Amino acid sequence: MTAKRPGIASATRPSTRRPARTGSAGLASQRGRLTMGLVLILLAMTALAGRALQLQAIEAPAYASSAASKIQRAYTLHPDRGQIVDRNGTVMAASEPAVLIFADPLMISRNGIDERASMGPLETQKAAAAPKAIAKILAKYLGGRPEDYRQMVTKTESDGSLARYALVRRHVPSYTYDLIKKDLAAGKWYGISATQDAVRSYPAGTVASNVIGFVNSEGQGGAGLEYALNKQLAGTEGKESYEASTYGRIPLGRATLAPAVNGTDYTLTLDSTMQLTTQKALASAVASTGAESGEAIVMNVKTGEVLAMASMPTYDSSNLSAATSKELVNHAVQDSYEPGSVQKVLTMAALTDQGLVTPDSRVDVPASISSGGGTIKDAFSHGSLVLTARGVIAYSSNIGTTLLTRKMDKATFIKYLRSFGLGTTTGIGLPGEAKGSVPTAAMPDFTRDQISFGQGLSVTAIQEAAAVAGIVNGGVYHSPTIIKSARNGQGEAVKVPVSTSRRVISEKASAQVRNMMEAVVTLEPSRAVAGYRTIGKTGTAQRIDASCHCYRGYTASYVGVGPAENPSILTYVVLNNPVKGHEGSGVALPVAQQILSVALPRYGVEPSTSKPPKAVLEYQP
Amino acid sequence: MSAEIASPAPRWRAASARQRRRPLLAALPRATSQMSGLAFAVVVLLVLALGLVAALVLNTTLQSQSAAITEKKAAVDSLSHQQAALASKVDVKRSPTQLQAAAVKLGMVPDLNPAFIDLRTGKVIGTPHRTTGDELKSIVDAPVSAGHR
Repeated sequence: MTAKRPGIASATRPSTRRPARTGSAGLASQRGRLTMGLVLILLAMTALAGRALQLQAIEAPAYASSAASKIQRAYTLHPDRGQIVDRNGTVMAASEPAVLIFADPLMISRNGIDERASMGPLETQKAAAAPKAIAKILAKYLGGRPEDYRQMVTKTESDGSLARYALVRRHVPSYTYDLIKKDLAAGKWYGISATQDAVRSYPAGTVASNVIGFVNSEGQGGAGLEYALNKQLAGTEGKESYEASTYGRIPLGRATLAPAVNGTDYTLTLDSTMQLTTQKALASAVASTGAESGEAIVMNVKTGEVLAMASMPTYDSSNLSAATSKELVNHAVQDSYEPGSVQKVLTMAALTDQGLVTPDSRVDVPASISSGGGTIKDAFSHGSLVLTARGVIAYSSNIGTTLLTRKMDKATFIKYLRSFGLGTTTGIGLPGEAKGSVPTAAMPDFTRDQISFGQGLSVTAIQEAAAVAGIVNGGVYHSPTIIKSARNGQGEAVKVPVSTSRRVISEKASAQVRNMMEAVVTLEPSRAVAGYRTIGKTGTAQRIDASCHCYRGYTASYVGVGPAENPSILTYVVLNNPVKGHEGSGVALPVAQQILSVALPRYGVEPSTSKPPKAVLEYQP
Repeated sequence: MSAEIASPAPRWRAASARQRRRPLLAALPRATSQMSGLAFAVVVLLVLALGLVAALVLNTTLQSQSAAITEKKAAVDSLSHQQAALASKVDVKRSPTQLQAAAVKLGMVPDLNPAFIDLRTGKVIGTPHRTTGDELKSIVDAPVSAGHR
């Protein structure tokens, strides 16, 4: 082969040497070595070319991708969880950027110098001072004494070696961490890091906790509106990626940005100041009566908007670790119970709307009447009474109500109860709302008798409050609402559950029921709200004890509305199983009275200028 | 014998004759000056050097702007963190729990008997009463924990 390349042949093989190689075996041997060498070179070249082909063509995309990924930085953009504010813009739940701070004790022990590198005397001296200095900075911004942090920054593993991770504090506001970082950088201290750990704050503490709920440690809504609206409040995560080198972001490098979409902000119908007053009044009553629990609702009669919804016992959403499971319940929507005599308002509404009863209808009320296999009595002992329908309501006579209800057929009665919103959820949008239960039209007569005065059926406080509000509001029912409006992350208005309205009784029947309810307040001067004519109804129901499936204890309640001339604000208070007093008029009425006395002036309701009409409760036979 | 006036020779023939006297192709004058190889190399090197300097300046500027952006972004983040921390404090101060506590501290009491003035007629609606502060004492004193951060 080489013989065909004259230039080389002439340069490397002078013809003068040829004669010295005379043997054909020697020549063959030389050619063989050359051939072998060339073959080896060829093989090596082929291998190199193959490898080049493999790297440049076959595996090129993988290497390119690997190289790209090494300079590519990507991170998730976390959206801000939506705020929840009351009707006046007072913040009830908001998210604040916060971090989880952790220490790397090993890194602190060498003040950031890699453990494989040797340290000089100055570096050793600085590293020895690091734990103390870092603990001092942490204490300065996180509170406490430097000694409290010494163990964290010098934490060891079970084998005695320094740990690589020690939790310092969760939910530290990002700004506090910024200040810590600044001090650490100024002192050239290393070994403290942080990860995102957003904190949900509830500035009003226990105010409306049972409605607002809380966010759990995973950042998910755990109760209340935080749970029910979790998806909308959470928003959508975004992503940013860019190319970076050791020295930071590469200018004009490839970068993509998918911005995070913040969660929806909600404005509630609640008035946090009214909520606080309602909660305090209820808390005071629950404590003084020894009640197991209690709920109170303040509602705008004309719109169905809930202005306050209190539930006791309650908890502080921002201090969840101290809460018990009993405190997490929103009794106003989650508990169904037999409402007792407040239900007589609904019964009378049905009877007056049917034209079967007027406030002056006469009823002969005996000491007791038989119903099914039992006997119905009134809460107060009496002989035969001659009451007007107004008197039946004012005295809260079970017997009188039963006798009047017997005038109406059962199917019509049930139809009215259902139109008042009983037996179905109100759609208020709070989680765990109970339906309550209403018997069917095929119920036995004694059940009809019982439900006329509030036993034998169950309701939730929000159902009962909305039903009474509809009856006194000229007969127009508004389904209760607690969410006023919402705006998504882009600031656009979002649809929220709206109140649905329907006429449930005539205007005339509504006025008649109001007339009867005013007699409840005028029955005793102490029931009045100063400056205003109000209407109301007391309720005292025997309570079913789940442990024995028997009646044990009471549910005391009162619904009050003001002013009587133009009902605007309704308050409904329920005390479950009070032990120091059990009558609605004794324990629940004063609470509702206190709440109304604050609510009416607060919402600009002018004091009454007329006196209540003289209530005829009994008639002369 | 007749005589005939001789017609003058055509013009084109004269021109043609002149053309015939001149060479058909003439060489263009050579360029007066031509850059020498050395000068050309210097120019190329200068252009290259300028390009390199320009690229260096551009790159440095970009890097410095990028660093400035990063610094500003960090400052914005820190300021937004500060704003969030301050807003959180304001939210707590604005909460009804804190406001009520502050009002009580100032000696304020709830008034349950306000009177309203009709601005159109000047008529006073309602009867104002002196407030003692005991009207809702049980409510005011009821413990409700305040929010905290």
